[in-house]
Amino acid sequence: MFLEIASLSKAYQGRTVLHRVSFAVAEGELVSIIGPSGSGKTTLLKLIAGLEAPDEGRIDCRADLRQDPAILVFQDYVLFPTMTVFDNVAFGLRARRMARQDVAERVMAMLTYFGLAELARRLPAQLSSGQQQRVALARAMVVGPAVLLLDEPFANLDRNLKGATAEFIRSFQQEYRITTLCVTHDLQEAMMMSDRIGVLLDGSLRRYDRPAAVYRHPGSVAVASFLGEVAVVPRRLFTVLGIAGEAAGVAEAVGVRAEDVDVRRDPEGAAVVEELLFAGPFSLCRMAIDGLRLCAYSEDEMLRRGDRVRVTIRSFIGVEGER
Amino acid sequence: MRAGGVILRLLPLLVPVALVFGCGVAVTLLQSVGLLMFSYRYDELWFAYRELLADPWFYRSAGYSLFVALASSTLSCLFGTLLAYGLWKMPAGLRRYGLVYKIPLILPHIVVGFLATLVLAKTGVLAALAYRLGLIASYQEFPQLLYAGTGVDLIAAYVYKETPFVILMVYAMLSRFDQRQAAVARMLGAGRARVFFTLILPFVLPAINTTFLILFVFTLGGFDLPFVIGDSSPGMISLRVYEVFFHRDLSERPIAMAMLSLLLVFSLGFIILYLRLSARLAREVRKV
Repeated sequence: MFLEIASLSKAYQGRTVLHRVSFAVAEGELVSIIGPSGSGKTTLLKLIAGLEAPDEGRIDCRADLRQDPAILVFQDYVLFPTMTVFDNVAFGLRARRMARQDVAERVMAMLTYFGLAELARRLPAQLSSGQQQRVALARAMVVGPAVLLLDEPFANLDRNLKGATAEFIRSFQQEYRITTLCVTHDLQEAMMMSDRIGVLLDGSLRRYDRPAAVYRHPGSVAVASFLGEVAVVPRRLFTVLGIAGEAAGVAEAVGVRAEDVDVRRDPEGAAVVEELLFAGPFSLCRMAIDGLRLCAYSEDEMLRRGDRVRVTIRSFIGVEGER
Repeated sequence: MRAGGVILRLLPLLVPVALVFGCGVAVTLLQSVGLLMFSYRYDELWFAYRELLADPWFYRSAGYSLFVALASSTLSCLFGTLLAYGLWKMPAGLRRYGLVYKIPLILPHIVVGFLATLVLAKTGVLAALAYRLGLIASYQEFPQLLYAGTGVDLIAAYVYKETPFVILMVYAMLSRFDQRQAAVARMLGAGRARVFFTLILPFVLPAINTTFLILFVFTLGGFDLPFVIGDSSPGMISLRVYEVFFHRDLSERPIAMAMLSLLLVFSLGFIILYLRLSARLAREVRKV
């Protein structure tokens, strides 16, 4: 593997932020570590970037990080405010004492690729958030880093820009074959652009695999709940909800996602609609069934609060006894 | 808030300041051309300026004042910036002890003047120290630092008094510097010197520029320190203004006012030139 993180731990003033985190990244891969705020994601990046030292564990990289560094692009980009876009991007090349002509050529090529050539003479304060992010990415990419580290790349972007940015990151990452590690709490974007994702909860890496594998087999309620709304259905309700099969055979409980629940109005139904929240293409429907609260996405516009409904579960998640 | 609203809110402060400053400047300019002199009438409007500009002493004194102001402000800014940077880089625990730099701030200029005589005189502290260390055989061998016409005494006193002010201003600015910028620069391959000259210095430069201009203008027209330790020949311009204004015939007052007017015009011109040059220099530094 190109980058190997082994048993990395870090604590601040006695509070553990990362606990024995281990994973590996292949060369040219894009890996996203997802987790809620305060789960230790940014600390993980700082350790890999060499900005802080781990208390335990090691970081091995096949590249010589002194020659080709790991460069961290901060959440708020940290552009040099007194320098123009051109000077920001040229900074790393000038630090390497590259000839003036070569600097100009490489910077302009990078600015053109990132769609920033027209903005070369502007100061960071004169740019939009998306433009600032592209300057920060261009500034990191121009020096040819061994590893690109992205801290919450979607945090300062409008909702409709996030998807486009995820596609853009994926496209330049593929173009330059740059090994990239991204931390974010934006699940959809992370899944769209990543080769693998890891779920970091309370400083521990709870799941690390291909995005589809992590989503379909989260392995625990905690991971599944972070990936979306999940109800833990106890064994006593398996028959009522039609949960059967080998996987359900021995389980005491299974996890059920909102998108795997079918709801139909039925006066004889076992569940009662408690709350309906309009969410655009569907309504979020919260129901009660024998003491359990279950959530579903419904397109039925006639559904009303208090209606009785029949609930069927299309698929479920094995939760391996963990709540 | 719109500009009109801001000005309206600042009016209670702006009006007295503008009135006092504006009236002071107007009276100075008018009296420098012989107007508003009540009992005196002058045949020629510009006689004070003509007399002043024909006097070789005026040029020597102006050059001396300019040298003392430039040297002391430059050295204060240089030492102050380096010390502020050193203080900023100190571990947090040690930094509070570094606050001793503020002591000279509370000393009045006149006290610093007397301190300078105690330290720099041929029989002063420095001379005694040099004698004790065997660097000189007798006090007579100690170089003449006070009243030697070189300005060393004035410059040393001003630097002692003004350096803490520079530290105060630059350190306040440094406290607002985003340390992650330095981290990014280091990741991009920059060494300490490049981080200092391309990121930190441009960041604190507005504070250094403002402080330099305040100190320069203050020193150029400063009176108390030159009065205690300054030479009379060529002497700082402020001493001649004082002498002409208070100790000569009232009819010569336009000459004092002409000197003040020229100081004002020169200071304004210097500020404009300095700001333009520093802006151009800052642009060049960023491209290094």
